[in-house]
Order: sequence, then structure tokens, then C-alpha cells
Amino acid sequence: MAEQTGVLENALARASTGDEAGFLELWRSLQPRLLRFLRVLGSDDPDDLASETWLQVVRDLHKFSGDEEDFRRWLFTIARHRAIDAARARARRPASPDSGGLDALADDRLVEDQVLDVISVHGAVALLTDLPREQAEAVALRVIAGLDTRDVAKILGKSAGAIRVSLHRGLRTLAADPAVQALAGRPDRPTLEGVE
Amino acid sequence: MNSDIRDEFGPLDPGLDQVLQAMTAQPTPEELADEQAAVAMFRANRTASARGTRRPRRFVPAAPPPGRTATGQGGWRMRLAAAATIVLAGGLTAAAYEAALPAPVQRIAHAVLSFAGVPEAQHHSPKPSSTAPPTTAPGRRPSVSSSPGPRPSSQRSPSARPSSSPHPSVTPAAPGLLSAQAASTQVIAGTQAVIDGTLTRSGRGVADATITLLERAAGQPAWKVAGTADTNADGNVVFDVAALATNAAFRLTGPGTTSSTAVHVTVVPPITTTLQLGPRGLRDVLVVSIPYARPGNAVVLQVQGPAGGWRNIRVHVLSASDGTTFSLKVATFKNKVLRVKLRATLRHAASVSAPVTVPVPS
Repeated sequence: MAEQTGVLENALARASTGDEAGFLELWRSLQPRLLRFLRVLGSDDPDDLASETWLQVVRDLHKFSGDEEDFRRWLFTIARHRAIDAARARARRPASPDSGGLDALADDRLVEDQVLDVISVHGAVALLTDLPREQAEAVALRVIAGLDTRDVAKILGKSAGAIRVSLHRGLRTLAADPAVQALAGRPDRPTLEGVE
Repeated sequence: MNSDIRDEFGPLDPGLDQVLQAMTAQPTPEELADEQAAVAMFRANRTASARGTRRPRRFVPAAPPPGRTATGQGGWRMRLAAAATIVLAGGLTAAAYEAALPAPVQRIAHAVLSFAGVPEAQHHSPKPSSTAPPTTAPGRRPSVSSSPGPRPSSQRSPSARPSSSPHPSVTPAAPGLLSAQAASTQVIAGTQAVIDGTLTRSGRGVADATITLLERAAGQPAWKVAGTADTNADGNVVFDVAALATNAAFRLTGPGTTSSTAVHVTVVPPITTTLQLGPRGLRDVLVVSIPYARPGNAVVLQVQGPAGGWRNIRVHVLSASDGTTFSLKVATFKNKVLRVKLRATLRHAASVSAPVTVPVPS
């Protein structure tokens, strides 16, 4: 991410003046991570939420003044709010009679391509969704969005120390996941004895 | 990026390092698939951006705090503003109503003008022939009937049809307003999904109009005709989609360019587990059957902790499409509660088995 800083600063400046190529550069650079972030948040339709996010960005770009880090924080803040609103709207729907006892809808996370020696983008994102929400958001904003801990703290309304704790716990839980253990070249060691 | 994490948290476990690298991997083609639509959106809205550059000010997050704006309201406001911009751009709107724009542009026009009846980009004839035979929907198992079997809405009592949908998907357009909703947005894989539709004009149901059900199964790029049926006297129509095996989106089209927006139905694969005890406590196995899973799906064996939470103890990536077997020693897990979780994919939602309490070996 850091290596793109200068490029995106320039793209941001051009996009702000209505330059299509500048916007496209921004979009290509950030859209994939935006989608991954929205998947971590359990969005039903990350493409739709990403579109709404970009629409708001384009409409309010004239109000924006800041550097690339500010822009990234702004973009992911909007996306997070959209995801939260969408989740609330979803929660207001009447419960499906068929879904009792089943996990909540987990959206279109694709783990089919996941194999134990090469993990896919979707597989990695799916692993994050198994974390507690606070840890998943912290790791996603820190790693996927590429924000520093202080910016993550601002977005999540927590102290930087609390975010570090969430990150540490989230990364530790991820590292202990049997699938991640297997990726490390170790056999899928059970955390309880007696499982082969 | 991982190096930053390392700076903060020290060396990473090799497996974790791979996971974090995967999270920040190069974009996949599907992640950039909406590029043209994004450009079209930018073109339609950049005037405001460019104009605004005359009076820049310090960044203030534009998004309202969560909870203060319902998604629908915010979305509508944005769409209204975007729609106004497109109207000012001139000419686009009329073309959009006719679904005459290039597909990517039509998509974004639909996104911002769907409330005004602009249809989505069509991968097929905008108005499929009412005589078009239902096609086999992708993702449905050959052994299961693929015919959605539209049935006359008269089979249902009009009062049974939810006329005031909690979340109707409505797109008003001349010559009417066509709404669609799923009776249930989540169904057990292999069971029936029911899509209800209503065509109204000036608040009254339109009878004997031919409505086409379009289906787009997860992972499929194009909409396909899944069936047709005529509205009853109240303007209602009901489609039964039999044996839905994968997540899918559905949409209704009617006379002219009348079209509903898409409704999504996700499927939950059922999981059956059987604990088979081996002789003298040897080779005890938990046999997992998941008929609607596919090779490559990840299945997690979990044990319940003292506080009630579930802990992952083993992951299998399915090599066969219908299940797997976990070997374990019952003596180790006596009185523990196990369950199996199928992780979500593009094609299905996550699913968990019923809990299994491991007996005390005799």
C-alpha cells in the first residue's frame, strides 16, 4: 500500500477536479479491498454497498481535502456505515421460518477455492469472518484497508490501545485456526488430544 | 503491509503470514468487473465534484453516524441526487428507460433510477416471449426437477399473498408497477423457493398480464428465463422454484419495460452427522453428510466450551461432494458436545449441524 502513496495522491487530486482517469486509478486501487472489507462485515451484497459507497464519494469529493490516508479512512468509514445500516435493515426483516438453528446468512464469501497449501483471497476473508466482530473489523481495517492503528481506532471509536488488543487477539485466533496451522506446513494438529 | 504488522506485533506465524498476504493479494477479475459501471457513475456525477473544487474545505466524514440514517433513506437520497444529475446530462434517461444504453451504463442507470422504472441491463431479450420454455437453472441438480413450475396465483388465496411486503422490491414504470418478493429469503438447499409478484397500475391490480421470472444463480453472469405465468384478477402471480440448490437472485419482468428489482434467496445446505463407535473405542468416527456441499468446501469440526462458545478443532476441505469423516476417540470427548459447520461460499450460506453429545464409552 505504501508504495502506491504517491500515485494515489496524484490520482486523488485529478479525480477531485473531475478527471475520469484519476478516478479510475483510485477505484482500481481501492475497490478490491473495499469489497473484501465489506465481505468481512458480512454484507449480503458487497458489490451493491461498494457502489453506494463510491457514489457518495464522488458526490462529496468536492468537500474532501486531505491526503491519501485521509481519503482511505473516509472511504472505509462510509463503507462501514453503509454496512451497518444494511445489517440493521436486514435485522428488521422477519425471521425466516427455515433458518432456525442455523448460522446467520454469511453472504457470498467464496471458500470453495481454498486448499490447504494455497489460500485464496476469499478463503482468507472467510477466515476473518469467524472472528468476533470487533476483532474482525480491527484486522480488516488494519490489514485489508491498510490503515494504521490510530486510524482504525478513530473509525471504530475505540482507543488505540483497545485496538491493539483486538488486533493481537484476532491475529492469535487466526494463527490458531486449524486451516492456518495447516498452511504453515504443520499437520492439522488438533487443539484437543484424541482427534486425528 | 504485513511488515507493518510485524513491526507492531513481532514475527508472524508462517500460516498467518500467508493468510494476511492473501487478504492483500492482487485484485481478482471479478473484483474489478464493475469498472465500466463505476466510470459511468463518475461521469454522471463528476460535474458536482468538479464544481465543488472551487471551495475546498477540510475533510469532514460525510457519512452520518450509524443509526441516524436508514439505508433505504440514504440510498434513496443518493439515488435521487444522482438521478437529477443524469437527467441534467440530458438524453441518458430516456435511453435508460428503453434499456437502450450499453450494458454497463444501463446497469448504473438502473442503480440510480430504479425507483423511476429504469430496467437493469439485459443479457437477454428485455421482454422474453411468454411462450419461452422454462430453462434449467444453473446450480440445480440434474436429479432434481429443474422446472420452476409457475403456478396460477389462483391456487393461493389472495389474502395469503403478502400485499404489504415488509421489504418489497418495487420498480414503478409505465404501464404499471411490478413488485417482487421472496416468501422466504433463506431456504434449506434442495427445497422450494416461492417468488411472489404483483403488477399494479394506479393502485389497482392488472389482470391477465404475462409475467416472466428471471433467475441468476450464484456464479452465473447472465439472467435466464425461469418461467412465465399470468397475473390473476388482483394482479398477483406466484412462482414456485423447485429444488433450489444454490443462492440465486430473481427478478420479474412484465409488459413493456416493467421490471422489478432483484430479490435474493440464499440456501442453507442441511448437514447430517452420525457418530459411529469402533470396536473397543478404536477408530471412532463422526460421519458427516452434506448433500449440497461441493468439493473444495471447508467443513469445520467444533467442540463446545464450558461457556457455551464453539471452538474449531479440525478443518476438512471436501474432496468429495457429499461429505467427510472425522476420526476421533470417544473416550477423549466423552460428554463433550460436537457440531460440524460448513463455511459459507458464493453458492450457499453457512450451515451447522445439530449438536452431538459424545456418549461415555461402555
